[in-house]
Amino acid sequence: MIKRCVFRGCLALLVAVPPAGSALAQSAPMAAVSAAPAGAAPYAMTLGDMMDTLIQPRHAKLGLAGKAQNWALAQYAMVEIRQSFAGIVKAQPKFRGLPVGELVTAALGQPMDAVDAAIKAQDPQKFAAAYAQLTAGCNACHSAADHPYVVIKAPDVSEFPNQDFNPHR
Amino acid sequence: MARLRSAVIMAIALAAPIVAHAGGVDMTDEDLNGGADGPSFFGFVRVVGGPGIDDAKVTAELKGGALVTATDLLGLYKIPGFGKDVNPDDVQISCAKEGYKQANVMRHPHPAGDMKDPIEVDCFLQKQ
Repeated sequence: MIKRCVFRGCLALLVAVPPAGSALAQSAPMAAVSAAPAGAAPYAMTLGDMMDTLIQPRHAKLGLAGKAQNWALAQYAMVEIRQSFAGIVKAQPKFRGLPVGELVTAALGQPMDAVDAAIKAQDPQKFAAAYAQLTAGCNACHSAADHPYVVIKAPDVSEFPNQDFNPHR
Repeated sequence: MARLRSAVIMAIALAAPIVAHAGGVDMTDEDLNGGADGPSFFGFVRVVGGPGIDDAKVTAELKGGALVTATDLLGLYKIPGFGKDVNPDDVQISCAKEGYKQANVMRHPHPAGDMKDPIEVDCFLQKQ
């Protein structure tokens, strides 16, 4: 539980910090940071919270970028996914007693390497196959963690109306 | 997956009932033990220096009987819920799969008396 405290207090901090340039920010930023209501309970993100906020959107963005053959964006999404998993493993090393890092490596290690290789080769067919492998790895991991009903799939449409997934120079 | 979950084919007399997790929970950090008081085990069956092996047979032997399960797609197995009188050191884990022979079994360090977290025992196979 203590190790999950990396994420604790994030929400309170976001609420408490005023917009840059505001009078409060200019005059007493440190006071503002500590101005969370007394007795406010810090929120500890569950593994589900972290999957929903850090991994699932990036998995979708990776798929959309690859489908659009936007290889630079796809590579960026892969880096973010790897970084997110590294942070999650530090924040919550175990889930129901199971080692999260080992599960991630077992389920996603080889598929993530395959996606990287497809991006490097800029090969849409290889990417589609590797992305399907990655998605299957997600679901295998969910099953291993007793959450087989959380079924991930390739996105049909973009859920990000404010982002263009097509390649731009 | 249901096939794998139901692969526990013989429960020994000392094994406690396996309690299914209630539904409706998020990915909270519930333990694997399912409410039993005794030790539980999990681990990966892998090729030596390689990936996990699915559908490998894993046997947990204890004086008087054995409990058999199988690995999932990742090569992971879980054996929840021995009885509280079971000494984890008396449980011997082994693994098998057709075309392979067992190479090594590695038991990870585990705090004595900790019955909440499962004990990790990895089993390695090599091709015959």
